[in-house]
Amino acid sequence: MISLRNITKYYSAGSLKTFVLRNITMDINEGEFVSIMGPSGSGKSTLLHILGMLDEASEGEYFFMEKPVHELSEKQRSELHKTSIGFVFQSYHLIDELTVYENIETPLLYQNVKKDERKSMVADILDRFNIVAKKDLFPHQLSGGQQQLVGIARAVIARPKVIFADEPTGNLNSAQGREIMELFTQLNKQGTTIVQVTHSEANAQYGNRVVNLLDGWLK
Amino acid sequence: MFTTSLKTAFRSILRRRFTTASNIIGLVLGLTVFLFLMQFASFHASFDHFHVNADRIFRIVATTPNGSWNNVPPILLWLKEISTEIEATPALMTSAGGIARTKPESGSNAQVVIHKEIAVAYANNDFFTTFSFPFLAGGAELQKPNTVVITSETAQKYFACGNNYASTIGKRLTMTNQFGITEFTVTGVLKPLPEETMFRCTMLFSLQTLANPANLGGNSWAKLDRENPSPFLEGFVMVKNGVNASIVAAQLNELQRKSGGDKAISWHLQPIKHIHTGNGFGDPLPNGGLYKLVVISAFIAFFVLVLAFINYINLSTAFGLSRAREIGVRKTIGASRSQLILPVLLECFMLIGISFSISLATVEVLQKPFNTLVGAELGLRYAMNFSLGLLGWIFIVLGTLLSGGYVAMVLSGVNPIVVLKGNFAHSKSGKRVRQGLVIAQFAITIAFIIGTIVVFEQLNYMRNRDLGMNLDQVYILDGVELLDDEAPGGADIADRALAFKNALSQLSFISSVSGSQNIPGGGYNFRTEGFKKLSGSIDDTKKGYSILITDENFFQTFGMEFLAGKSYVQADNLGNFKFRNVVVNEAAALQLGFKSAQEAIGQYVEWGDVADKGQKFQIAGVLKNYHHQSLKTRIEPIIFLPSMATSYFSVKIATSNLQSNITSIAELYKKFFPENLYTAKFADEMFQKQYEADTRIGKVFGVFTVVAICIACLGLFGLVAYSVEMRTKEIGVRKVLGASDGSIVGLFAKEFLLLVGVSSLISMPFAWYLMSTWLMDFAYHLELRSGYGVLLFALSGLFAMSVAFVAIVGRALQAARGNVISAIRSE
Repeated sequence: MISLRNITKYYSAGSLKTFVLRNITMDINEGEFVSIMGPSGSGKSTLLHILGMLDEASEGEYFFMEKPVHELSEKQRSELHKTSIGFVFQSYHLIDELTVYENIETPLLYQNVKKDERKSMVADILDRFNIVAKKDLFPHQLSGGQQQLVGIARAVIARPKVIFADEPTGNLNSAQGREIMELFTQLNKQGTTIVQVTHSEANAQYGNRVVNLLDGWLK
Repeated sequence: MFTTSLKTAFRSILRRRFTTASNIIGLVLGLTVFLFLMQFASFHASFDHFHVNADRIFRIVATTPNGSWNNVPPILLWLKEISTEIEATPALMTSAGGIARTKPESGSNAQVVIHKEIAVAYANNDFFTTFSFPFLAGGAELQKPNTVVITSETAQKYFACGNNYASTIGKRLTMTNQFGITEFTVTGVLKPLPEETMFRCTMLFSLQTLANPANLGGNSWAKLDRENPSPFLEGFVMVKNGVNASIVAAQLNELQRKSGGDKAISWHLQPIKHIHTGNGFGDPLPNGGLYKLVVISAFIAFFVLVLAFINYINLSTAFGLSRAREIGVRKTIGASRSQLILPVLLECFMLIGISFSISLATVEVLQKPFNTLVGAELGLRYAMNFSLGLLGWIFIVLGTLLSGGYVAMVLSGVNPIVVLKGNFAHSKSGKRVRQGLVIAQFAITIAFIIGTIVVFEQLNYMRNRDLGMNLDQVYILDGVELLDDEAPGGADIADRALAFKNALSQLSFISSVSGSQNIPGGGYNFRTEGFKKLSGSIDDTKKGYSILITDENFFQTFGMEFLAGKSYVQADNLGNFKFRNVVVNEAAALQLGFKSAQEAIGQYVEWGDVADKGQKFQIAGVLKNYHHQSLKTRIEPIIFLPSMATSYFSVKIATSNLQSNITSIAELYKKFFPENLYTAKFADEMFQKQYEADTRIGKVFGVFTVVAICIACLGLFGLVAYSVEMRTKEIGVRKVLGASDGSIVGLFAKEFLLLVGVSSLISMPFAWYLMSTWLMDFAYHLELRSGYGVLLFALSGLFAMSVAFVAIVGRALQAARGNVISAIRSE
């Protein structure tokens, strides 16, 4: 489903190149739950951003469902991203001006889903995640765990093929963290591919494969 | 999608209260000033545009190499017979003011109402067929003698008619002026005249009245005779539809040539729309000269609004940090760029919409004070119904789209990764743009400050300059209009005036009494040429002189100084406009060709051909130059002619018991001239009145400069607040390392004051050029090139700096004194 060939990422400052990722070659199959691990500055997040099409590699090839992402135009990439990818962040990144309901609904708006359909999809997710009672609250009225729950709901609402999660439990206490990881496992069982970046060995155990990065190299 | 965007925009406005408030205050200030100034500019630009036939109406104007004027002889009234291209020839004679009084029906016990009326005119009936002045009752019958059309205010004033204007039709009133006492019958009542017209009349008498020699009171110059050459009418033509005005102008010049008139004169048809403002800068035809004012106010309006929009852009992009995070998030969940721009644009429109509504309300509330400030009954309608107004609206819409669009582009262009990492604020390009905009804002503001200071300094300069005379405690009584035989002193105006002057000088508190036909701060009696000293050449007779007719005490009463010689005496007036001795001012003595004041004394001056109706007289005294008129005009060569003048009585009074002194003067006047209205003023007040318009402009400038400063400082304050927010951590670290509050404030002050400094450098050359041009209108003005001028500029820059400094320190100090720990922890 995802295959990276010799992906390299660097930042140029004058003649000096600072390498973040070097020669990454890897494949991720549909239905996998992959955890990317490594110390601070090893390039985990950059790798995740490139996978999630938020960032571009400096060199190398990236195929997403057989499509060469490195050759796509901004518009095509945005379309692919919109329909196939969900993102979950360490600091949730909910939109402060929107209620829980509206936050979850937003991706559907961008995909021009009809109003009735939107309504039933959001209702369904709220129900599944057990947050129906919170639907009219604003993010700042929720606990961290609840906010991340909403973040995940927003990521999965459009039924993406893959979810990229950047330290999804980094800001949560251990109980909340466990809850979130169990949710991921459940989603994975239902067929969603999941790629997460994590520091925690415990969290990595929820996945079925661990990828280790050190100084931009794949271990 | 749209409703959600709307909702988001609304919530975002509510959430960011500080930014929103700063934005709205800035926009409201800018828009309010814009709306007011557009009213003002449109008002002046739209003078006499409302006449249905405005495009076909022209004023007849003559130009010669020596100047231009807009008066024509009565042949005007026969032009329709001469040219088939002319549809109507409205004619007006102003300067016929006097005393109007009602004349109740015999047997009626209605009180006689009596007032002085200055703004009256004699007009022909073409006036009302040409110009669009609607009637409330009756109509114009100016083709008949002894009829009058009055405005509704006049009808109220004389006939207390309530709303029943029809009741005044057929009522009679008399006018006492230079033509004697004439009776008129009211045939029509006009709706109040619109503000934007040059015709400010309260009564319009039929010009036809003067066709009867009995009604001329001996003023043969005003004979309505085809052959009468004296140009006493203001003349207009309305050309027929589709006729090019230049054809008619050519016909007029042809007529002039055929009748053997002065070849130096050429006639022009000036479009009525150009009369108030002039046709652009430096229009050679006589006009109100307000084009400059229209352009200046439109420019100020434009710049103030630019200030407000810059503020909006600065604050929105600076505080876009939180917004940018939201947009980054939206991008990661699949928003396309166009889907992102919409909510930002909506937010912008909403903000400007809210500000605009508040501005409209503010304009409504402040309209009255503003009208007092500018001295005209303005309203929003002026900003709405004219091309300049239209331009204003286009500008508002364009500004909204551009600034909203720019903000939306900047924010939607953010890279989600950078944003999600929280680095957006350090983007260099955004900072440069904001710095550039702050520089632009302060450049405009500093130019405003310089403009205001220069205007006020010029006004001060004019008020405080030595006028070459002493107006203190000189009290001026309006002269005599009306006499009857029974009053003390008899029916002869000169006898009565003499008796009155004698009685005045008996009063212990009066040190000097004078009669004159005009006064300092008023005008001259007339201007003419034809003077030369005995040894002078024929070319000398082409030089113009201003003439004043006064009695012998005039110079003493007004504290004027003789360089040589002395005043004339009453006996120097030989009657029939012949004179033995005259007084001249220094400028006139030099223009006559004398080397010094001394040399001129006792010398003869010829006026016209002595062999043919001309005369010669001696110079009795040479006056030191004084400012007869405002400092806007040069001191002119003046020749004073002796006469028992009665248009004005001027008295120098003692300061003690001023109020009771004034009262006794009034009582004396009423005793001598019971049929007249008593009106009087202090000479210095009358003189300062000449600066009224400039003082107004100064005040308008002042008010709007204060607003501009407020807007610019609001923007600066916002940016400092933002900068402080961005550098909270840096501040914390510096404090941990031992930085004092002062050094932290200095950090910000340095950054922003530098910008203001750059602004000064940019704006000063522009301000210099603009204000030098403005000062050209004043014959006597400040010298910007002098040390004082440079000081003014330096002070303006310094003033802007210190205002900016206060705005900066206010916010930076707060940051410097903040909690160190929370600052460092905040990441």
